[in-house]
Formats: sequence, structure tokens, C-alpha cells
Amino acid sequence: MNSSKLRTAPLHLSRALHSSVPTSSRVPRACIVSKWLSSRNFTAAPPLAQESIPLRKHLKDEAKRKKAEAKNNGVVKEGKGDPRLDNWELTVGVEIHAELNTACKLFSNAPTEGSDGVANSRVAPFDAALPGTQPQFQVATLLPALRAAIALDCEVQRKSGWDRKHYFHWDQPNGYQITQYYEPFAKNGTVSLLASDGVPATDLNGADSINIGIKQIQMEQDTAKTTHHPPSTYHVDLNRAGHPLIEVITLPHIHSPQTAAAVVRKIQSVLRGVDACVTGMELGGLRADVNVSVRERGTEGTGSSYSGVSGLGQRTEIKNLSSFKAVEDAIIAERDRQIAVLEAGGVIEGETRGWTLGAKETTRLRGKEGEVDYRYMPDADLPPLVIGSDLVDHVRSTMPELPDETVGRVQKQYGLTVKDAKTIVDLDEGDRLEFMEETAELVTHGLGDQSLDQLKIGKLVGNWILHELGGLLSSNEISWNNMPITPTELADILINLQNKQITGRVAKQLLNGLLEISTSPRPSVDRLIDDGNLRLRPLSEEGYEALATQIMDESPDMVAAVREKGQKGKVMWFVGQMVRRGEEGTVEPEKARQVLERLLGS
Amino acid sequence: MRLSSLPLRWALRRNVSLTPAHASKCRRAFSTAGPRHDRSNSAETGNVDVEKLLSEPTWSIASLLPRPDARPDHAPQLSSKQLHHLLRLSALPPPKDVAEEGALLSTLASQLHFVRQMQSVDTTGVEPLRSLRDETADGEKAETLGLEALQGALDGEEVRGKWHKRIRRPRAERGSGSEYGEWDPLSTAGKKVGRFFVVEGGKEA
Repeated sequence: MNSSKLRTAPLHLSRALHSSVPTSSRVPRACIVSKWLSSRNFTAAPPLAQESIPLRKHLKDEAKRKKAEAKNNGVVKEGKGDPRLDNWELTVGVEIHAELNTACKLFSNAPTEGSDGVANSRVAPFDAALPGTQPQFQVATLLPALRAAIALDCEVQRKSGWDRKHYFHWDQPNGYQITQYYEPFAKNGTVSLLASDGVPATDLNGADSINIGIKQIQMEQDTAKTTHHPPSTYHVDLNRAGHPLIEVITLPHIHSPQTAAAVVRKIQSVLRGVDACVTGMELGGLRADVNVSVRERGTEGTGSSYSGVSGLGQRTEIKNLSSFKAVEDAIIAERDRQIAVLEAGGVIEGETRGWTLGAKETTRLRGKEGEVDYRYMPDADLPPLVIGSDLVDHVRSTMPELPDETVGRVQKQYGLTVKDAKTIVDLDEGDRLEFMEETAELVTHGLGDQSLDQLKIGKLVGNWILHELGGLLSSNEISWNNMPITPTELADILINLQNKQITGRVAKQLLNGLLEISTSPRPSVDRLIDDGNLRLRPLSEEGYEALATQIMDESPDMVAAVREKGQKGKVMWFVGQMVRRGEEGTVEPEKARQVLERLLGS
Repeated sequence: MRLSSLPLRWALRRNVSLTPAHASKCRRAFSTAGPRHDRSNSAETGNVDVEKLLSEPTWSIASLLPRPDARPDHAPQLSSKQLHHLLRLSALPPPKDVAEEGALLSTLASQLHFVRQMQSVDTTGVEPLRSLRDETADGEKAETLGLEALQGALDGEEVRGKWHKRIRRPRAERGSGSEYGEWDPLSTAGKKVGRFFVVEGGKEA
């Protein structure tokens, strides 16, 4: 159908690469095009009107370039290489602040969404701290908080309180933040991590999973948003002031930077899975602070303890990390700094430090104020939060499937790998998984008796949705919401493919074509196949041999390369030529390869 | 029956209204022991010497403030650094000169003495009062957030998907609805730029 379109490089890709890497040549790299083509099982022959650099050479150059860059940036490869880690043990505790998914704020009825972009448009008198205004707990905000607590396996406390944490800042109109310091509403949870979540083997110690304890979860207010206008002016937007947050505090059970990043990722995915916190780290809806300390192996550090875990070194806090990579990098930098100080005989001070992306070391922000400086006191304006057990039981019994369960189920039911399962569960808020399950159901149904086993169907559908469809969406820059293809259409394509009515190549072309049809009613896949005369008219054995011999005669040097130099990979080039030269919908690559191998005598 | 087993108030009343002669007569009526002339043994016999009791104070309000002459040794001295730290925490201006700092420090010392006197009262087992609320069982029941309290929020959610069921709260459309409320928060602003409050973060006031 639109084969020519599929051959040209997507311009935006080359433009993007072009602008980010300063190279001497101003021509888009041919290798990107080749990679794109080869990912679609097309030939790796470079398209016309491009500088042709052999693919393999270019890949090698790329690898060399990346290594050189890494060395220049001074990034030390985390590996068995670091000998200091034999002597020093790292302990990390994570505090995550996540915005709750609610319609209104925590203590006022100002809405949390709508009227986007207009600053100071969703501010109640209490949010602006007008004298005499009182907080009013908005009951609906309890629901996502409860779900978060139950999803993280916490014990929900029947009675919890509201406390004021006093400090002056222009993003805090009241002069205090209402939080739950003395009596949080949920305590004693766990989050478990597997090796596939990114936990290094040293932390797993032979087990399948590790459990990181959660000390407590509390609800609190968010501060306003400020923007800095140099030299010293700040613009304040109170829309976010008073937005409900939950703070998830883990116990210091984490012993490596990768595990810490994995914990943050895991908690974010759990919170998203139960619709409690839906803005992720990249959008600023989830922030992490980490507490880092080191101690010499076999010692008790400085004897500090936190919440029952004792024998730790003095800890420092790194605030406001806003991406998973930042979490990992900041912990590595701080650990290295602390080890360097301690090995030189110095002492670690308890302080608060900051991290900017691309920095090599954390920077000191301020000394660690004691908790007493915040003058925590119960808020007299608010009654205690009393949560009924009937509500907790109801929420627990109606919990949706947690992400871990979903990933496990997708692996078992559809035979996807762990990585693919995780990807598809995360994409498009679960809509893509829904699409996949519906398509798989239709395919199973459509294939009827001669169906493959469920796992094979699952794998087929999964691959098509993740890689083929996904690739088309990204290359045409269409979002999932705007995608017109229905599960029925994809199922029809796959059924035809399985029944050998069309070749793989034709199937991909159909997919691409369907993506572009925006008229309604949409033609059915069968109709498209018939109209385009795409049904596989299998070539006979002689037909294959004839075509193969023709191509072999035309390129004797390639034949020589295979026969004499033994470059078996070039057989695929022949296959590509056969597919290209043969009539649409007649040449099957697998059969062509068999014939060619026989003819080329390999 | 000994007189000391009777309520003290009754005994006091009895003794205060009586002349010594009359008192001894009454004592004879109720006590098995002989008449006593030693007033200081009032605890034994229930005979309280009220005048002696009231002649010397056991506590004075003056104890709440430090004595102007004495400097108690156990009270730690406040340093200037601590004073400045506290003033920063409270967003109060630092003292202009040494005299003002001295005055602030001595005021603070008196206030701390007062607080220490408060803290010397034994309050073991006493929960501090947070606010005046209905703390009865019925009151707590009325305050409990149960299923009916959250029913509105639960009803507002929808289930998304048939195979992969997820709970979703429908979000408001972008730009939907007019601006919330009728009052403009910026009307309270001293300084503003566009739709933003302006704060000067420099060191000068």
C-alpha cells in the first residue's frame, strides 16, 4: 500500500538528533534511518540520497563516542570496581510527598483543577490566610488517602490528629503547615521489591524480594508555588496552597542507591494504580527527600538510631529530588562525600543538602534544625480525624488490582516477559493493557478451534501492541487517545496473519493504513485486504527459485560474499530483495530464506 | 468512736465555734481519751489550729517571677546566639543595640522562670486539653467518618475497563467553569504583578 512512505526516515527523528549532537557533517545520520528500517524487518540498505555509511561501522562509532562522553563527564561506572564499598555500608530512608487526586483542597472547598494557567484563581480565604478564617476538613480527600494507605499495607489508625508545623516562608501564608506529626493516620506498612524492579543482587541476598518497611503515612497541606525573578523577587501563586499531600516515610531498610530509586518508582506506581496520586515525578506531583548515612561495616556507626533501627551513622537529608535518576545520583554523590569525610577523619554534621541535576556533589542548604524549632502543636481549630472501620473495610474490599498483581497476571496469562508486562501495564494509564486484553480475547475467539495456546496468542498480541502499534504511534506522533484503530481491527489483522492469509509485511502496512483512515464508517480489515488485493497468493517453489536465481545473477559479488567469504548475514539482504521485488503479498520471508539458503549452498 | 474518724469540716466547725471550756465538754462526750491541752496534736484528735494554719503562706504568687536579688544557679544562662535564633524563628526584628538586647534577655529569663514553675507541677497521667469538644462516646460517634460520609465521593468515581478494571475519579476538563468564588485574592495584595503576589526576598526589609 504505502510502501514508499514506510521507507523514508521520519524527519523529526533526524532533526532531533541533528540539533542535539554537534557533528561536523550536517547530514542526518543514515544509521538512525537504518535502525528504524531494520526494526521493521526491512532491509538495512540505506535509502537513496543519503550518505551511505555501513551500519555496523556506524554502530561501533556510536558506542565509542558514548564511552568517550561518559569518561569526560566523570561518571564512575557503578560496579564491582569501588573498593570503598567493601568497608562502608550505606543506609537510606526515603520520604515521599505525593499530591492526592482530589476535587478540592484539604481544608477549604477551593477546587484543585480547572481554570488552568490562571494564577491565583482557585484560592479560598483560608488558603490566603485571611485573619479569622478557619480550616474545614474536606471529607472527600480521605478516600484517596485511605486507598494509598491500604495499598501500601498500612494499619489505618482509628483516631489521628492534626498538628501545626510552624515556620515562616512566603509560600506558606498561615505561617504554619497543618500536618499529622504526633498521630498520623496510617502506620506500619510495607512495600516489596523484586529483582525486576531494579534491586541489585547484593541487596536481595539470595531472596526473591525484599520488603522495605513504611513507618507511617500522613496527610498534610502543600505550599504555594513560587517563581524566582532575579535578583531577589518572587512571584507567588496560591493555587497550590492547601492542596492535600500524603507523606510516605520509609524505615531505613534501604542499602543501595538503586534500591532507593526502585522504592520511589514502586511507590509511585502503586499510588497511581489505585488512583490516589496520579501526577508523577516528571510533572512535579511527587517529590522525594532522602536521608543518607554511612557506617563502617561491622560497627555501630555513631550509634544513631531512627524508629527502631539502631547502630547508624549521622544522617544528612537531601531535599527536593524530582526524578528517579536524581534520587540515585544524589545518593551516590552524598555517600561518596560522607565516606571521603569520614576516611579523612572528619565528622558528618546533620544538615540539609540540595542536589541539582548534573552536579557532582550535594550542596549544603542549611543546618538541620531540630524538630523542636518547628514548635509542633496540635491544631485547636480542627477536631481529630476519626475513621470508621466500616469505611476501611469497604475500601479494602473494593481495592482495584495492584500493579504487582497485574504484572504477574499479564505474565501468566499472556506470556509476556517481565519487562514487556511492566511496560504495558504502565502505558496510557492501563488503557493499552485493556486494549490488549480485548484484542487477545477477539483473536482467541476468531481463531476458533485451531487456536494456538493462549500464551502464544498473548505474546503475539502483546508484541504487536507494544512494538508495532507503539512504533507507529511514536513515529507519527499520535497519542493513544487519538488513535483510531479498534481492537476488532487489530484482531482481524492478526487472525488473517495467523491463518496465513496475509504476510507480516502486509499486516504492518494494513496497520499503518488503518491509522490514517479517519473517515467513518471505517472499512473492515477484510474489505481492505480484498480491495488492495493483498491476500497471500503463495508463490510456488519454482517461483521462489526463479526469483532467487534472478537476483543472484544480478549481484554476483554478494553471492560471492556469501559463498566464499562465508558472510551468512548477507542472506537476509537477498531475502529483502526478494520481498521487495516480488509482487505484493506473495513472498513470505521465511520461505524465501529457506530457498535462498538452499540455492546459495550454505 | 474516735473523733478523728469524723469529717474534718464537721470537726473544725465544732471546734471553732466552741470556747475552750465548752470544747473540752464536747470532747468528753465523743472521745474515749481524756481532754487534751496540746493544740499542735490537732491531726490526732481532729482539732485543727486554724489560726496557725493561716498565719504563714505556703505559696506565693511572687514565686512565679524570679526574685530580683537572687540569681538561681540551676537556671541556665541564655546566650545572645540563642536569643537571635529565637527571634529569627519568630520573624521578629533583632535588637537594635546592646541595651535592648540586655532588656530582651532579662525579660526572657523571667518568662522562662515562670514556665519552669508551671512545669514543676506533677501532671503524670493527665492528657493535655487540645480544644473544647464533645469527648463523650456519642460525640465521637458523631465525628466518625464512616461509609455514609464518604458515599458522595465513592459515587463520584467510575470503573474504567472491562478486563483490566481500574477506579478513576473523573477529572474536570481543562479551563472548565469560571474562576472559583467571587472574591479576588489579589485584592488583598500589597504588591502584585499580573496575577501574582510579589515578595521581595532581599535582605533589606
